[in-house]
Amino acid sequence: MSGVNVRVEVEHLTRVEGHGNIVLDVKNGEIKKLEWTVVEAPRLFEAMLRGHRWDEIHHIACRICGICSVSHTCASLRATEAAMDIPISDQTLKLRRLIFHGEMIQSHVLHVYLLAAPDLLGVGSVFPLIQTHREVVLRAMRMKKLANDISHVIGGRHVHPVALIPGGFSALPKREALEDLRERLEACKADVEATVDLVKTLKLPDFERETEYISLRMPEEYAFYEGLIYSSDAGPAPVEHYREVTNEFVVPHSTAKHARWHRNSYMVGALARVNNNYGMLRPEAKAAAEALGLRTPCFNPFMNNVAQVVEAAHCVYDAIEILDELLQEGLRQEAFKVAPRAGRGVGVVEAPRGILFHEYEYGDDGRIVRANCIIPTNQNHESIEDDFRALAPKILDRPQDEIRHTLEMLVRAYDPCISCSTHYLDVTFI
Amino acid sequence: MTCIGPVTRAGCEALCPSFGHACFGCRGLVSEPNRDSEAQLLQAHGLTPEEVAGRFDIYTHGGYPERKGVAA
Repeated sequence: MSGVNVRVEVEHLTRVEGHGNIVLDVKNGEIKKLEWTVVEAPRLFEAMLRGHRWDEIHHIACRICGICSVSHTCASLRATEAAMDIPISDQTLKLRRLIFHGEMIQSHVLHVYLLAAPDLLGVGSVFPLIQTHREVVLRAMRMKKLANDISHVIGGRHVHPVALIPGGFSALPKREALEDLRERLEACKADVEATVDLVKTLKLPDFERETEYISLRMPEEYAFYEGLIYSSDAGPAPVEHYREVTNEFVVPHSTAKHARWHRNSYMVGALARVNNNYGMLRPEAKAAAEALGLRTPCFNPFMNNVAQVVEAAHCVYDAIEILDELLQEGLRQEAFKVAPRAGRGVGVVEAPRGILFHEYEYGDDGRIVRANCIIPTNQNHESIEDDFRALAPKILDRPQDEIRHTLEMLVRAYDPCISCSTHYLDVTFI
Repeated sequence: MTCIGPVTRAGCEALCPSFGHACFGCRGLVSEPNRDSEAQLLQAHGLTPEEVAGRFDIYTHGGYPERKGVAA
């Protein structure tokens, strides 16, 4: 591509959470600069947690994200429960898995329909679709509302749930509310089918780059809420070794840290989970994957959108099964008392965008001495840049606008949550 | 339940207390909060001055006058 000059500057990329820029500079066919730059100020949440009590930590930590607040709540609770050896009941586990499914559906529907689909339908945002694809938008809203209502019923609030506390629940949902959710999830099956039919018609860019995929894994269940760390390159690793997995490092052009393990980068999120745990998906989700042409292992990062649809299908059906169990057993108020003490604990869950780590150290007074949170999007930043480096040379012969749009779509496919990921502060002491 | 709901801006319909959790004052303090009276009330229900300050420390930092000098 000698002689080609391209200048792409996207400042800031739209239809992602937060603020990030794409820079591509090509002179005479040679790529001089190609960056994915996160420009937001760091948020210093770990410092904010210090000194706070064990029973209020998860309320603060969950504010890291408004899309995946259930994931942050659960990672936080699990870290506190690990640090203080707090057991949870089977009923609590089921309710947490249920609210988790709600968040997964909510986040995936938000991304696939409202953030990614406009690219594939050739419009700039969801708003023109209200005129041209009214049914599609209404379906997206219906699915999202149901998913948010799951959080409201189980957790007491649509985002940032209040009823989840260390050891269990401060209040339990009413039976009628669970029955209502059950009924609406049943109706949602048709919406899942329609979603698969829609996404089947969309054409994703044809691009592959094999990499390391990291997620949680459980032997008999599709892992969201718990499990071991699993790498497609190296197999399982205990969650306590998460720092050896993430190896966070800073780069000059970004306020968010990057991560790598066995290769220059690794990928987390729906595609990584489906690649690592395809066998544990429910049959309905596998059927959706087949219908959508998602065969694992899949090395096309754009297929993360498809993996999200597959997971949404899994969650709808699995949520119905959990609800059936809860309704059959009936919810009981459980007495539990927590004795706060010193300790250290790691809590790991799969947030919608990938594996999420919280680690806390508590003092004798049950207050946080030290906290560390590693967010999925951090772990994807380097992978996005590696994809850029593999993809850009192949598309330099296209019109500049198309190059820009393809790079935008690539970042969007990762569904980045940039604000969550800003961590890095370069302090110069003078 | 001991919380700072009485001096917190309304609008949430007391979501947290309704779900068995103390109010952290996430909507911020009312325009003229009677902090002293609230502090006395919380202490009458068994909270230490440090714990009272802690209640003001999450979303309304500095809202409690005796916060200064209290170890977090």
